[in-house]
Parts: sequence; structure tokens; C-alpha cells
Amino acid sequence: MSQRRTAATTAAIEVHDLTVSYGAKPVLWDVDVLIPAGQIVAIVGPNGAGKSTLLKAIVGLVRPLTGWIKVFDAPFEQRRAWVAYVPQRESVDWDFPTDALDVVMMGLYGQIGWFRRPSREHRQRALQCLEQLGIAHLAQRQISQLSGGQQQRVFLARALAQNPKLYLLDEPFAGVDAATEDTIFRILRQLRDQGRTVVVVHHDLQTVADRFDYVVLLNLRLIAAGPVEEAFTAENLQRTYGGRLTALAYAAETLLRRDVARESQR
Amino acid sequence: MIVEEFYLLLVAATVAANCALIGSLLLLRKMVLLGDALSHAMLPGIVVAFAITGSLESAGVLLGASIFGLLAVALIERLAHTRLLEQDAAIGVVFTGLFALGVLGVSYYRSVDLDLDCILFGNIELTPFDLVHWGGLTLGPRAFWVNAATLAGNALLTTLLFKELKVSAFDPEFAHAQGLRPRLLHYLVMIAAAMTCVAAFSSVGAILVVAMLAVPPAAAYLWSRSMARMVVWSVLLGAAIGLVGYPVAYAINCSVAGAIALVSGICLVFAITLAPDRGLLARWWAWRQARLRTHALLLLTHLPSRPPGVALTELRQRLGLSERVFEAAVRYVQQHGLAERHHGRLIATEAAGRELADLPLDPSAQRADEREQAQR
Ligand SMILES: Nc1ncnc2c1ncn2[C@@H]1O[C@H](COP(=O)(O)OP(=O)(O)OP(=O)(O)O)[C@@H](O)[C@H]1O
Ligand SMILES: [Mg+2]
Repeated sequence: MSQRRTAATTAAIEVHDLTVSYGAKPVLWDVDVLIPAGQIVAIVGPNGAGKSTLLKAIVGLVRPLTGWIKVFDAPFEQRRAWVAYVPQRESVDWDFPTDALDVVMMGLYGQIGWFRRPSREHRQRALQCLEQLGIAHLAQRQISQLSGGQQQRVFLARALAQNPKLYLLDEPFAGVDAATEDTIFRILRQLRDQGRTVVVVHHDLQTVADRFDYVVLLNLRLIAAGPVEEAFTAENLQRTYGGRLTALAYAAETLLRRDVARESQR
Repeated sequence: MIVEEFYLLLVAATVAANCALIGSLLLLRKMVLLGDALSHAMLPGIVVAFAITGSLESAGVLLGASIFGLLAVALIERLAHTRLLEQDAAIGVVFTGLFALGVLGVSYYRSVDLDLDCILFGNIELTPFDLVHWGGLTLGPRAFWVNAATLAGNALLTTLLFKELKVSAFDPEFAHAQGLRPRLLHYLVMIAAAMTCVAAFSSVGAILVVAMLAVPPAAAYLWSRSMARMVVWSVLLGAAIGLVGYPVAYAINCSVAGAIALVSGICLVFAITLAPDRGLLARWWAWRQARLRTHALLLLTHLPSRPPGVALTELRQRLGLSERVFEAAVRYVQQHGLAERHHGRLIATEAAGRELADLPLDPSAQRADEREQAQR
């Protein structure tokens, strides 16, 4: 794995005093966090912790009660073109009459602009993105006939097509097999090495320590945030997941593995 | 009478095509019932217009219906946006409320002869007699011009904003993050639907509007692999149904609206059975083909590649297939060059090996050749 950037030069996302609520009860409470640019960042926390809500607040899909968010030092509205948002896969209707290539092309609609039609170059660009994810052969396939992991890759290809500085991915590894996960992580690392920022809502605690540079632990409020070495500790996991034994067992195992790996490096 | 018949066909085709266009946009947003809701929600507007002008044929009725149509759209959208209710529940609540208001109005004015049947079923037969005159010229039926105008508006909306409508229907959150204003587009579609319903309903009645909003898009949806094709097919099918309705009505001596609804029902049945890929027949056929191929491949796994091959009767017993299925499988492997027949015995060809290589076979299982040798 390539070297980790420890010191954050600039903040990709700055969240200040953010409180979000859908009803009376807040689902995010007074969150203050800086997400550094040029890193692969995991957002972890139990179901209902507000991870998706945080991403939605960043891209203006939910209106916060209090607080503000800046993306590369400006409000999101001025940074739209820099950001690719990939919602959870279940959030759309995969029976929609269209094919994979067409969905990837949607990533270019913002650039193409209102009223104008996609051109041949746009098609080429979309096809390249499918190629990058190794599913160019599925370009003409109806999206209803794709497997879950293939749908996930189509969504990622759509994000690549946007060519953004910041990726916000909501559970891109849900229902994805280990080989595909490796492929996707390789692409994410390439993006990071080009100086882009990748924020991933992630559920697999075992892979956090190996694969991410930075971690944000969330459970209705911010529990901890920082470089994985500092913030991804057993104590912070305990505070995030409470007494859930399985989660803690996982965490203990990964931490142990990491320590062993460090020992052997010395 | 030729002119009147021509006018009638013109009106029917325009109305149906228009409804089919908006209907396909609604279907992709899972809001087909909005049409049903709108055509009921307009009732209070009609009653008020009737109360003021004393007639059902005035421009006031169009205006009243539009106002309540838009009011319904605004209420539904506000209510759904609070997330207190799902979209379909919001539609249900708003339209029953407004319809109830309308029914109250109708019973209040019963003494002045406001005919509810006429509102619900309309009277397309009368549209050729309500003509537009300009100077000394007759420009055709008013219903045609009203519907053609909304059709033009809808067509403009759909072509200019096609990609925006597509992405906002498929993935509104993503569209929003890209700055493509899905809520604005949603409003535009609902307003277009309201205007379409108003225009169509005053010519052909509420029931037919609902049928035309729902059926051609549903058939086209089953039939198409892209949104563009779905919209185009839906419009063409709508127009065709509109045109066929009148001759059918004439032939079986029933109302034109009834005939159009009947024809569209038949079309839907055809679409469901015959659609490529998703149709019942296509699925059944694909299943049969896959089963035949499976039997053929199963047969190949039991076939030696060297003479003398295996006798057919023995093979059939070994596979335990019925005679009909077995013969079909034997025919399949021969037609596809996977096996050859010598003196009543079957031998696998080289192509068979390649075919089997792609199958997820258990590698520890004995191949037919080895079995054959072991037997000797
Ligand atoms: N549209 C909504 N309306 C009302 N409540 C909502 C809405 N969306 C989410 N919530 C609630 O907000 C809380 C946080 O939801 P969120 O989707 O952000 O969780 P999450 O961390 O992404 O969970 P998961 O791991 O299950 O995806 C949950 O309790 C959820 O029930
Ligand atoms: Mg979530």
C-alpha cells in the first residue's frame, strides 16, 4: 500500500455544529468534523447512526436545523461540479427502462447542462468509465438484468464519469464480492493518488484499518475522527457501537492483526 | 357526415396521444394514479364554474377545472414533501377530499341539472359539433385545438428536458446533487398532467382520460428497453387506439368512449402476452429453450466421443427422460453439431467438449469416456 498522507493540507469537507432532524428527535447532533483532502475516508457507525444523513446534508438533500457545511472552503452550491454523490443502491428503481451505459452517462448531465443532448464524446467517456470498472461488456445490458454487484459498479462508473475532486459513496461495498471489492479499492487508491478525496460509508470494520487513511466514527453524534492509527481504537469502537459484542469482537480482531503486522515490520 | 367523422377521429387521436405522453412520464415516476386523482379533484372547479355561468360548455369550466387541478397538484406535493405521508397516500387524501367537496356541490345544484354522468363519461360524439370559427372560416373542433395546444406544450417539455426528466425520475437525489432541480421538474410534470387532464376530460370524460393515461404507457413500458422508445411507442399506441376506437364503436354499435376503452384493454392484454423479453410468451419461450438446452447438455455428459458410441434406448434409460423430451434433446445435439449418429448409436463430436467446458460440472465426476472404459 502506498504511503499515507498524515498531515492534512486542506479540508475537503468542513462540518460545523451540524444538527439534523427529520422529526422532533435529532438524528445528527452537533457534529463538528474536518475531512482532509486527498485521503480515503471511512465513515463508520451502527445502522441508523446518521451516516447517510451526513452525506445527504453535505450535498444539500436535507436541510440542517443548525450549523453549516463547507466543501473545499465554499458552500456546496458553488462546488457541485467538484462532487460526485453515490446514493445507497436500494434508493433507486432498477426496473427503470434503461441500460448501463445510459446510467453512466447521467454522470455527465451536470456538465452537459440544461436542454442540451449528450454527444458521441460523452458516450465514449461513459464507456471508458465502464471499462475502468471492468464491465464494458455490460454497457448495453438492461439495468434490471444486472446483479447487485454489477449495479454497484455501474453507480461507481457514473461517479467516475463526473470526474470530481470529491467522491461521496454511500455503502458502495454492500453486496459486493471480495474480488470486486479489491478492484474497486484499487480504483479508489488511484483516485486518491491523483489527489482526490474519497469518502466511503463503510460497514466492514475488519477492512477499515488496512484500507482507509482516515476514519470518522459516528453514532448520532461525532464519536471520534482522525487518521486510522489514532482514531480507530477499541475504546472509540466501544463508544460507537455500545455493548454490541460482534462488532467489538471484529474490532478487537482487526486491531490485533494490525499490531501483529506492525510488530513484524519492525 | 364525412367531415364530422374526420373531426371525431382527429379529436380522439389527439386526446389519446396527449394522455399517453404524459402518462408515460407519470408511470416512470410511479404516479399513474395522479391522473385518476386529478380528474376527480377537478369536480369542485367545474361545479363553481357551472354555478357562475350556468353552463357546462363554457371556457369557465376549463378555467375552474384548471384551478382545482393545480390546487390538487400543489396540495399533493406539499403534503408529500412533509414526509408525513407517502406520495400515493397524499394523492389519495387530496383527491378524495376535493372530490367530496365536488359531490357536495353537485347535490346542492341537482335542482339545476348538473349531470355527473356527463362529467365522468364525457361525450366525445358531440365534439365535432363544437367548432371554432375565425372570420368566415371553420377551423375544426374546439376540443381538437384545446388538446393540440396542450400536446404541443407537453411535447416541447419532453423533448427539451428529456435527459433532465429521465435522471430526475430514475435517481432524484443524484439529480439534485448535480443541480438538476428534480423538484422543479416534478412540479412541471404534475402541472402538465393537470393541464392535460383538464383539456382531455372536457372532451372525452374522466374515465377515458384515466384509461388513456394508464394503458398505452403500461404497454409501451413492457415493450421498450429505453425511456425514449417507451415515450414514442406510448404516444403512437395512444393515437392508434384513438383512431381505431370509432370504427369499432360503429361496428359493435356502442359509445366511442366505451370502444376506445375496450380497444386499449385488448392492447394491454396483447402487450402483456407478446412483449419481447418481459412478455409472458417470451418468458415462457425462453424458459422452454433453456430447458431443452439443459437436457441436451445433460445428454452430452453421458455421451462417449469414440465409437461405437451408445445406443439410444440405453441412453434414454440412463437419463431417465420421457420419450418426447429425450427425442427433442437428441434432435438438439444433432442439429447443433454436438453429436453424430452411426447405426442407431450416438457419438459426441469435438464441439461437444468445448460446450461442456463452460458448464459448472463437478470435476470429480467421471466423464462418459472414462465410464465406458471402466465398463469394459
Ligand atoms: N427520510 C427520513 N425521514 C424520517 N426519518 C429518517 C429519514 N431518513 C432517515 N431517517 C432516520 O434517521 C436516522 C439516521 O438514518 P440514516 O439513514 O442516516 O442512517 P445510516 O447511518 O445511514 O444507517 P444504515 O447503516 O442503516 O444505512 C434513522 O433513525 C432513520 O430512521
Ligand atoms: Mg445509510
